[in-house]
Amino acid sequence: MKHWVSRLYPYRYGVALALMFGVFTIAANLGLMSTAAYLIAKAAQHPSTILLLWVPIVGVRFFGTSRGVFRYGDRYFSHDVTFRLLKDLRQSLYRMIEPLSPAALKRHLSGDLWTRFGADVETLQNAYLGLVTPVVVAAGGLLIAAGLEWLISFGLALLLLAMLVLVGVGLPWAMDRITRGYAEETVAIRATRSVRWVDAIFGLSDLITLGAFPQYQTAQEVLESRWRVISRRLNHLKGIAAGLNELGSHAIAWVILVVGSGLVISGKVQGFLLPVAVLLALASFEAIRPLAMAFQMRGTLTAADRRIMDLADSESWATAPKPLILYQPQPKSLEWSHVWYRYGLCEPWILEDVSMTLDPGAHVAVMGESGAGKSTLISLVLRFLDPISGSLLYGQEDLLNFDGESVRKNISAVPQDPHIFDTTLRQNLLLANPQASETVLWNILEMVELKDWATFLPEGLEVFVGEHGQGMSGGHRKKLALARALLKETGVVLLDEPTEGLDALSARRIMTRIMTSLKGKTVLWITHDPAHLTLVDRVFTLHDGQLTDQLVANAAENII
Amino acid sequence: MYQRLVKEVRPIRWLLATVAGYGIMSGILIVLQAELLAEVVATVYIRHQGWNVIKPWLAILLGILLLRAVIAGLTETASLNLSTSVESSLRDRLLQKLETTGPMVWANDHTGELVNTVIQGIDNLETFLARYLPQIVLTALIPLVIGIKVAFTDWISACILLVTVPLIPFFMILIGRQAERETEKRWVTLGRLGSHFLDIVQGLETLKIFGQSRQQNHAIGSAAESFRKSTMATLRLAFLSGLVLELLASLSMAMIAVAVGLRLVGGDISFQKAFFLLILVPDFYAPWRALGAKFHDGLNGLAAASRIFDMLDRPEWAKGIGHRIPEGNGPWPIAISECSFRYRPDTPYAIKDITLTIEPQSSLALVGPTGSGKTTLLSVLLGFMPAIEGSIRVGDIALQDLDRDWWHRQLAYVSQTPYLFAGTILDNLKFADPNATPEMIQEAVSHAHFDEVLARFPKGLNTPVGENGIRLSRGERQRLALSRVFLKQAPIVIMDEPSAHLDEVSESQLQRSLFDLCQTRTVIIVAHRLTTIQSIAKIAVLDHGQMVDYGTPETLGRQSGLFRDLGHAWNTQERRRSYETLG
Repeated sequence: MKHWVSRLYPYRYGVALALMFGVFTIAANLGLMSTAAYLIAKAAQHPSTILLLWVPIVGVRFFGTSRGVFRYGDRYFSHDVTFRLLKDLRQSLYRMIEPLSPAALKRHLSGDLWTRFGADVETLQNAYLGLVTPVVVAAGGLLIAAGLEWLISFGLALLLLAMLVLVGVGLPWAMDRITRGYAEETVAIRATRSVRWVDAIFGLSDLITLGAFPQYQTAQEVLESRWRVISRRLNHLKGIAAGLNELGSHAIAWVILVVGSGLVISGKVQGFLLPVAVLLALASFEAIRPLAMAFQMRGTLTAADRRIMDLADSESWATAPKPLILYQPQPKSLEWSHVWYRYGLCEPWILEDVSMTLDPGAHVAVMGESGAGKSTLISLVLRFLDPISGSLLYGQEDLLNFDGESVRKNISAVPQDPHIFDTTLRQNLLLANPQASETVLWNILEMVELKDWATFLPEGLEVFVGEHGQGMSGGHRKKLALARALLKETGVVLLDEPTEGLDALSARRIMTRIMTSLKGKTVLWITHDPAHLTLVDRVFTLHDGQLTDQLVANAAENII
Repeated sequence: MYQRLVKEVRPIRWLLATVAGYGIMSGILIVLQAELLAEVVATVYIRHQGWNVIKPWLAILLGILLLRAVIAGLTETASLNLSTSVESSLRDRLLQKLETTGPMVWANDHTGELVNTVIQGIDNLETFLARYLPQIVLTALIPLVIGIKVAFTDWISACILLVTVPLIPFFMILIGRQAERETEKRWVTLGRLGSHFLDIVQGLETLKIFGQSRQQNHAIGSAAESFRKSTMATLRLAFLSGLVLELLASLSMAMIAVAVGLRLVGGDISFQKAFFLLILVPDFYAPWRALGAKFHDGLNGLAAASRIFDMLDRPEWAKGIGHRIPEGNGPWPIAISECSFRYRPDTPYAIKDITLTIEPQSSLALVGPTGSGKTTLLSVLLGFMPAIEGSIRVGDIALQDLDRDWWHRQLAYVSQTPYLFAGTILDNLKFADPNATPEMIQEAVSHAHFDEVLARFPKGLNTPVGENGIRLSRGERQRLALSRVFLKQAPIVIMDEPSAHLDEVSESQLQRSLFDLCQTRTVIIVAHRLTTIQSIAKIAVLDHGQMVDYGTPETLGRQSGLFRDLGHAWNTQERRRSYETLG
C-alpha cells in the first residue's frame, strides 16, 4: 500500500496545499469557537470600553468568514491532486499490465471479473481523498486543538490530546479488531452469494427446467439466514461502536469541564478561560470524525490493492530481453513441433504432442469444436503463451528464442474474440496500419462487404462504433476485425473463426475473396464449418488435444 | 420513488418512526446538555462557587451523555437491523420473481447488469436505508427542537437562525442542484474515462497483435490530463455550494457570538444564556452538514431502488396458476392449436397460428431460418411464456392449468449453451436428480458419452467447473447436459440446436445418444443441421412465425419449398460424409 502513498511525491506542492486548506478548515472552526467563547467570557466581565473586545470580535468575524473559503480551497486542491494522480496511477497500472500475456490475462479476468477490476482501479484512485486526507487533516487538527488548549493549561492540552487519540484512533482500531472475524465471514458469505446469484440469473432456464429451483432456493435461504445471524451480531457491535463514539465525543468536553473547573476552583487557571477550554473541546471532535471512515477505507483499499498486485505478480513471466527477429514480409513456413500445452498442473492437456507444418504460401484449415484448443495454437505462435514443451519454427528459426513484440511484426491475426475499440471506425482500422491510405481502407472495406454500410453512414469512417463495438451488429464487428487483420502487411496470417456469426452465404463470399487476395501468403484458418474446406489446401482436425485426420481437402472437393 | 419505497418496504415505517423518536429525544437531550454545561461553567466562572455546587450537575450531565450514547447505539442497531431484514426480504422476493418470470422476460437484459442490481444495488439500498433516510429525518427534527428552545431563550439569536434556515435549503437546492448536476455529469465522464482504460486493457491482445500496445500509455495519460483540465473548470463553480453552506453556518455563529457579546457588555443578557447559545448553535447546523456529506448515498440508493422495482415489476410469464395433472399414467400427446405469441402488443407476432400434435414417443424437429420463431415456440412449450392466443394441451389439460412443477418434472431441456453451475461436475449432474445413486450417474454418463470426457480429468466427477473451475468445451458441455437428460428420465426431451459448434466426432456421438433417446421418449428439437434430424420422425418448417410445411424428412425433401432451400445450405453435409470416409 505504501507504494501508492509514495506516488504523491511528484505532486507534493498540490498535496501540501490541499492538506493545508484541510487543516485550516478545521482550524478556522476551532478558532471561531474559542474566540467566540473568549469574547463572551470577556464581555461578561463588563469591560469599561467595548474596544477591549475589538480583537476577539475581529477574530470571530475572520474565522467565521474564512472557514467557507478554506473549505473551498480544500475541495478544489484535493480534487485537482486526485485527477493528477489518476493519470499517474492509470499509466503505472498500464505499464504493469501491458507486459502480461493477454491469453493469461483473459483467463484471469474472465466474465464479471472485469467489472471488479474496474472497481478496484476506481478504489485505488480514491485512496488519496479517502485515506490520506482524513489522517493528515485529523493529525493537524488534533495538534492545533491541543496547541490552543495549551495556551490555557498544559495539563488540559495533554488531556485533550490523549482523549482525542483515544476516541479518534483507539476506538475505531478496537472496533476493527473486534469485528474482524465477523467482517471476514460476511465477506465470505457475500462472495458465495454473488456466485449463487450469477448461477441463478445466467442459469435460470436450466434451473427451472431441471426442476432444481426449489432446491436452489432452499440452499439460498440457508445462506441468507446465516447472513442474517452474522449481520445482526455485527449490527449490535456497530451499535455499541456508535454509542461509544457518541459518548466519547461528548465525554471529551465533560472531562475538560471537570478538570478545568477543578483548576479554576483551585485558582490555577483564570475563570474566564473555562468557557474557552470547554467550547474548544466540543469543537475539536470535528477533526477526528473522518478517521472512522478512513479505517473502513483502509480495508477496501488493501483488498483492491492486493487483487491488482496479485494480477501483476501471478501472470508475469520471465521478461529477460530476447533478440529481435527480423521483419520479413515474404511468406515463410510455420511449424509446430511436438508441442505440449496445458493451463495448470491439474488441468487436462489442451495440446498433446501436436505437430503441424505449414509450407510457405500454404493455406491450411484447422477444424475442431469450440474450446478444443485450436486458439491455443495461434496464441503460441503469437507468443502469448509458452508451450510446456516443443518448439515453434518460423522458417528455420525457433520463435521461442525471440522477443514477442518482434515476432508479432511478422504475423497478422484475427483473434477468436477480437476487440473493437470504443473509438471511430477509421481509428479501429488504422490500428493495424497507421499509414494506410484512404483508398486502401475503402478497398479493404469493400472486400469484407462493409463498404456499403460505411458509405451509407453520414459520418462515414468517422462513425463512433461504441463500447466493444456495440454500435455495430455482431456480423459487422467480425468483418471489421477481418479488415483490420488484412491491413497489416505480413507474410503470415492467422484467422481464428473469422466468420463465426456471419450467415453462411456471405461468409463464403467474403472468405473466397480473402483467400484469393492472400494467395502466396502462409495462412492458418481455424473454422468449424466444413463448407470452408474447399477454400484451403490442407485440413487438420484437433480433437481432445490431439491433431488428427490430415488430408488434402481438394481431394474431398473432387469427390463432390 | 420515496412513496413507492415506503409502500413496498413496510419496515421503513418502523425505521422512520424509530429515527423520528430518536431525533426528538436527542434534540431535547442536546438542549439539556447545553443548559447543564452553561450552568456549570457559569457557576464556577461567574458565581465562583465550588465543587459542592457543581458535583450534582456534573453527575446529571454524565447521565445525559450516557443516555445519548445509549439512544444513539440503539438507533444505529435498530436501523441497521431493519435494513438487514429489508435487504434479505428483497433478495427473497427477487429470487421468487426470477422463478415466476422465467428466462424469456430477461432475454433483452444485460445479464451482468442484473447481477449487479441484485448484489451492488441492494448494498446501495442498505446504505440508503441505514444512513441517508435517517439523516433526512434527523435534519428535519433536531434543528426544529433546538430552534424552538433558542427562540424561547433569546429572540435576536433566533432571528439570525431563522434568516439562515430558509437560505440553507434554498442554496442547497438552487446552487446545489445545479452544481451537483454538473458534478454528476463530471463523474459520468470520469466513469467513461475509466471505461476508456478498461477498453484498452481488454483489447490488449488486439493491440499487441498490431504492435500498438506500448503507445497506449501516452494515450491514457493525455486522456486523463485533458479530463482534469476540463473538469476543474466546472468544479470551481460546483464547489461554490459548499462555500455558501459553510459560510452561512459559520457566519451566523459569528454573528450570534458578536451580538450576544455586545449585549453582555451592556448587561442585557446573562453570561449563562450567552454561553448556552454558543454551545447550541453548532448543533443546529450539524445535521445539514451531515446530510450534505451523504448526498451520493441518497442518489445511489434511489437509483438502486428504481432498478430493483423495475425487476420486481416484470410480467410473470412463467408463473403457473393451475394445479391440475392429466389423468392416467401417460405418456400424453401434446396438442398445439392455433398458438400465437408476440413479445409486446406493438411488435409483430413471433409465432402465429401454429397447429400441430406431438404424439407420445414420437420425435419432432423444428427447422427454419433465424428469426422464424423456433425458439419462441420452444419457450412457450417449456412454459417460459404464455401463448397469447390459442392453446397447448397436454393430454386433456391446457398448459396454463397444469401444475407447473409437475410439467417441469416431465421435461428435460438442453439449451444451446447449457449453463455450468459453480461446483463440481457431480454437483451439476445432481441438479437433475439430487438422490441419484453412483450407479445411476455412471449409466447416464456413459449413455451421453460423457465418460470419455471424464476420463481425461484426474479428479473425474469431482472436477470443479463454472466460475472458478476448469472450462469445458461446447461439446463437453452438451454431453454433460445430455447426461442430465438421461439422469432425469423425463418422458419429454426438448433440445435447442444441440449440434451447433460441435466437431464431427462429438456430433456423431450426439447422434447416437439422440437415437437412443428417440426410442423411449418424446423428442422435440430445434435443428440447424441435417445430421441432427436423421433420426427424427416429423419435421415442422417455420418461416416468419408461421408453419409453412410439415411432414416426414423424406416427403419434405421431395417437395420444393423452404425445407429444400435450407437443405441446399446444408449440403456441405454430403461433403462432410465423404470427408469422414476418407479420414
